[in-house]
Amino acid sequence: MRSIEAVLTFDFARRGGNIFAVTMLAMIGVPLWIYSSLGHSYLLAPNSREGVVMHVTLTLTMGFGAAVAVFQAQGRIARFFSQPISAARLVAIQMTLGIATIAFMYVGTAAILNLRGTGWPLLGPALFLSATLACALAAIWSCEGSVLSQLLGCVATSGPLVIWFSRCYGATLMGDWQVMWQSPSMEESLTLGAIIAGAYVAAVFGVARVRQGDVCDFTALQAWWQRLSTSHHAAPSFRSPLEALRWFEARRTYNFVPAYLIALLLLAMLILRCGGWLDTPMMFELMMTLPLTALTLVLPLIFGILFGNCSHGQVWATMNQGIATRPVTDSLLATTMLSNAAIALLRSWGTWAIVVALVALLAIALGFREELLRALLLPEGSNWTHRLAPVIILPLISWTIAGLMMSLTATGRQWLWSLVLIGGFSALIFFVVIQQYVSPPQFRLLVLGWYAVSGTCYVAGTAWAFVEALRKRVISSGRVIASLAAWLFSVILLAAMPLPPPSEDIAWLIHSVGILALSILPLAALPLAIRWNRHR
Amino acid sequence: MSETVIDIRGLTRQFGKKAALHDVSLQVPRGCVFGLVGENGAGKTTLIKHVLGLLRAQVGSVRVFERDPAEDPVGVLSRIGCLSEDRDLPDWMRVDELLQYMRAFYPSWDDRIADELCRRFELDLRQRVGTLSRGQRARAGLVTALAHRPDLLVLDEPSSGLDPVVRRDILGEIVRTVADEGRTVLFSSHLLDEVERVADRVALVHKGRIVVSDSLEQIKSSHRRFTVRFAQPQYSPPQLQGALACTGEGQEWTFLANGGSELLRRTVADHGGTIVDESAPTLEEIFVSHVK
Amino acid sequence: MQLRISVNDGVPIYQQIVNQVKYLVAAQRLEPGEALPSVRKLAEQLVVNPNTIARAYRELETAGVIVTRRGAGVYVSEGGSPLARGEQTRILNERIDVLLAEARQMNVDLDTLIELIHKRSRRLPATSSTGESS
Repeated sequence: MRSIEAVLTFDFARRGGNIFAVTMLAMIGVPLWIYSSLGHSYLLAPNSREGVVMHVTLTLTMGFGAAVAVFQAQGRIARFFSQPISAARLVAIQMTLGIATIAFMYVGTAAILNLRGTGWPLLGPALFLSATLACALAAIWSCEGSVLSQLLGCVATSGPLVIWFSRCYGATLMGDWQVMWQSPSMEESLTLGAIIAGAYVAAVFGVARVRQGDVCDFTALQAWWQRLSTSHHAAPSFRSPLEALRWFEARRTYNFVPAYLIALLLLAMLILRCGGWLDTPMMFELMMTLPLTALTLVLPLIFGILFGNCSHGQVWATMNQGIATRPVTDSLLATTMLSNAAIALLRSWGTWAIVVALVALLAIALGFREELLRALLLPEGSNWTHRLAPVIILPLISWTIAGLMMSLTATGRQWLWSLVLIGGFSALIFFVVIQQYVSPPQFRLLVLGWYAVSGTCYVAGTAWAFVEALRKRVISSGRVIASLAAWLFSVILLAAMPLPPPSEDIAWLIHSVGILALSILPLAALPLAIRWNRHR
Repeated sequence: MSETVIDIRGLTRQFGKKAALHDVSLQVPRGCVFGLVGENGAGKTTLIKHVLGLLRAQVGSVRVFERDPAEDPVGVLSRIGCLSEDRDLPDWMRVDELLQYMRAFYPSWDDRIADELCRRFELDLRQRVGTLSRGQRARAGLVTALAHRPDLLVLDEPSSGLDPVVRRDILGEIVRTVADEGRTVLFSSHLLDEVERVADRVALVHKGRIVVSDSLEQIKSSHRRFTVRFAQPQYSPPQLQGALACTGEGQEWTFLANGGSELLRRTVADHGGTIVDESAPTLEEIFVSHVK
Repeated sequence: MQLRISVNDGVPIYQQIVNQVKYLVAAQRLEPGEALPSVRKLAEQLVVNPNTIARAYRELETAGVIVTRRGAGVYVSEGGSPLARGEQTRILNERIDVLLAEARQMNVDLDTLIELIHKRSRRLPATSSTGESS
């Protein structure tokens, strides 16, 4: 008979296998890519300030990612409550597994990165990450029943630890890190060890309490909120299936959220400025750049995944039967989802534009005209294309990412996800590693080759998708023609625009043409994905 | 309208290495209440998913209203009312919103039926679906399935986990549906007494194969239960030709025979026994005998 | 009309309905000319397939217990059919068999039994004779 330890370890490995592989690849790939794209060797000197900043930021981000992977792999601890195992033993096993995983992930990543000479310390951050994970696990297990208290517990326990970690690198609080924390002193190691032990004990008590059913939940509060938020207006009436589906998608995906998030972000900046923590030029700069990053990259990624998820729970489960049995065509479902995403993105971009415009007007009215103009001023040598290009390109990128993520999620196949993620990160690592072994001209050739090949693949893939979609009759020929026309028009526009180098490179042009093709790909890929998911 | 609503021929379905359905053939005529019976995991839900177009036929063909449900979801699903085991109703919707939402998809939706059913089931229109009890959620699902007067009602384990009151409501609606001209019902259940009450035709699914498929009348009349008293006590179950199952001990044994009861009578005489009782077995006994 | 259907009886459902309707007619709980519920209504009431009800009604009609009037529904047939009387006799015979078996077990002879029946009959209040003389 297998021991309980073996069973739990096996369960952890089975659930976490894919996730850990992907996370590990990301943890290795992203820093490698950042380091190599920064290029200059002085940045990598372990004792340079920039090197320290890179290390701390990357460690914290990767630690967060690894912790999420561990949570996913372990699942809810309540799964094991009906097994004949004491709380102490259960917590010991689960905590050990989690700590071992995160420590191994960090040490492995740091060791590989140190091959490039980044000089990351091994023991200190590993101990810190273990202690933080232990506390976070303790908080999550003890506060089972209310996501809010779990979140608060996590933040309350890991917050101080993160600040302490940051101070080890010479900062007063956060941000102004000075030196590398080479190795932990005896007191520091013992303190961290004691924290882990304390987290263990707290977790045992918490889990024992939760197991008895003594969960902290806010059902009364939730019920009150539900009563309050249940709208008392009449149910809407729909004139067509399309209207009904649109309403359903909008409500199901909470498509007002991205716009609200942008608004909150801008509001936060405004408050910081008014409170004096931020000066006006800084605020303008932030308002121009940070939301743009969010709108172009982060939000489409996250919400593309959320919007494309047609199932009840896990992103890669089969389509929700309530949706699948609606007497509508696959293409109508796809159209609804696409228009839903488009509306959400438009709202977010619009929110940003409107709020920034309002703030600008306010600034002018209050006499901050100089700072505003300086923030808006573009570098020398730019012409109107430089001003116009971002306005068109950034929303396009935003739409493309959202559309592609939606199509990927809508297939409902987990293996496809793993394939794409592993493939992407592997390619990243490959390029970074290759850069070590080939001379710069050869590397440049390789990159150009990659651009040309990938651009061609994008166009070929899009063409295939449209042909398949036409064959399977999930897209109307009118839509195909319109998409084709739009793509051709954009290609012509690209060729006609006077852009600065490296646009003269044919490879780069091919790649851009491919990216433009990707922006119309969702129109064919999403209906195909839905058809593939709905009729298995 | 054709006489066969559902026509399944030679359907085989593999999930990885496991064969969920093996060479299944089934015809559901119009106006019939078709009961699909079998243990959990026998393949009933897989079969129903094929009818709804959620699964494509890997081998064989599935035709509902003479169309392929996977290729023509609009044509087929607009005439089907379905209630799934998972009760995939969105939790955040109110009941009246749910009705309005479903209404948009079916031109044949009848508001009066919807209102009458809501009244009869005592559904609170203002309540969110997520806060409804299990039975009420089943009733709400039933209203959305019935209000558009579907030509085919498909129910996958409609009574699972429900109390007798709700079960009676569901059965009552099945009866009411088929009492209307030309409407058909396909339902799967492992509650055999329900099936006996309302089904016209019954098929037993076991490990992905159809073991018995016939009208209920035929199944019940062709199976007989015999109690035999032997002259000598038998220490192991006597093997009699024509018997599907046997229980008992000592001198008295009970056999279940299908069809060839003449053969059984002769064999009984050969073994030195006399038939002391003969009766009609319950559907449960019949099916257990086929499965074991 | 109160009917009870039991699925596990061993007796087919339509047969149970036929028997119970015959009993009700014989016991005068269904009067001649009284309307019976339609197939649909009875199916809904008993939660039984309408085809089963239809079959039961067909058998009852063949037996002459009920009659279908086109467009108007199903009614108990008029004027004590001989089968209704036959049903009555059958029921009484059942009761008598039980009584005789019990009497034999208690070693009470037939004459004593008949005497007892007379005694109990005198104790009953005078009622008009139910049913026609047979």
